[in-house]
Amino acid sequence: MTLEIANQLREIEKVQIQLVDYLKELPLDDYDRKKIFIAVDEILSNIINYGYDDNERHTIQIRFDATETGMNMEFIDDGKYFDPIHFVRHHLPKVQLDDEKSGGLGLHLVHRLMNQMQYNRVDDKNRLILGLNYTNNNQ
Amino acid sequence: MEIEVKNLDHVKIVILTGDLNANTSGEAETKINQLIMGGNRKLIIDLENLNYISSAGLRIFLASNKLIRKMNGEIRFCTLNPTVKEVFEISGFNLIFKLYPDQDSSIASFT
Repeated sequence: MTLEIANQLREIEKVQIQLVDYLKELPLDDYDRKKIFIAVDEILSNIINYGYDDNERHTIQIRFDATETGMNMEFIDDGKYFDPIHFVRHHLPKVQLDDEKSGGLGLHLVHRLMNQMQYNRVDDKNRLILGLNYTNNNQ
Repeated sequence: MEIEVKNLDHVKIVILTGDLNANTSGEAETKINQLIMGGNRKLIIDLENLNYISSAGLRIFLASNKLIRKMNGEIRFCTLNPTVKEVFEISGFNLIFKLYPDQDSSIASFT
């Protein structure tokens, strides 16, 4: 399934609605389904909130590719260069009781919840691939 | 996102149902902060019916906790489902907030 959305936070809901139907047919449990929703929310909101310095309309492409044992998700955006893998390796999550900013927490969540994370910059676009192995296939 | 508030004598219980994410966290933060500004110092947030929580949801808990602590109050959480519990553990929230397995024990903790 391939989707395209504009760089607006409310557009994330469109992806989530499509995703509900797409995931219904797949052999994954509720635990894995929720991990996918978290990853989609975190990556898209990060691109939309921090990826663009202008006020122009941009298109973000998301591709979901289900296999028998897992799910690959690809996010392509034309925002500024940002390597989330480099980020999580060099920035520890700083969650403190009185600090609601706690920058980068979402990317750390994705890094921990997903089994694979690949990034490259192609044709002036960010290309992030996330992989999730279904839990019920790991047991 | 549905937000239900149960009024007990000494504590308010906020029951969140649905997804707490980039699009819904603002509504939840407004409701929780209204309760705090209304003078409630003991809040329990029940997460049993929360489908999932993203970092946007975690941030409103930090912001609301900052607000209530200025008024000598506290937010505690109960009935985290497995996915929400994992997100709390990854983010360290299990170390900075008090968590309870059910509503009864969270209510009792405030007495």
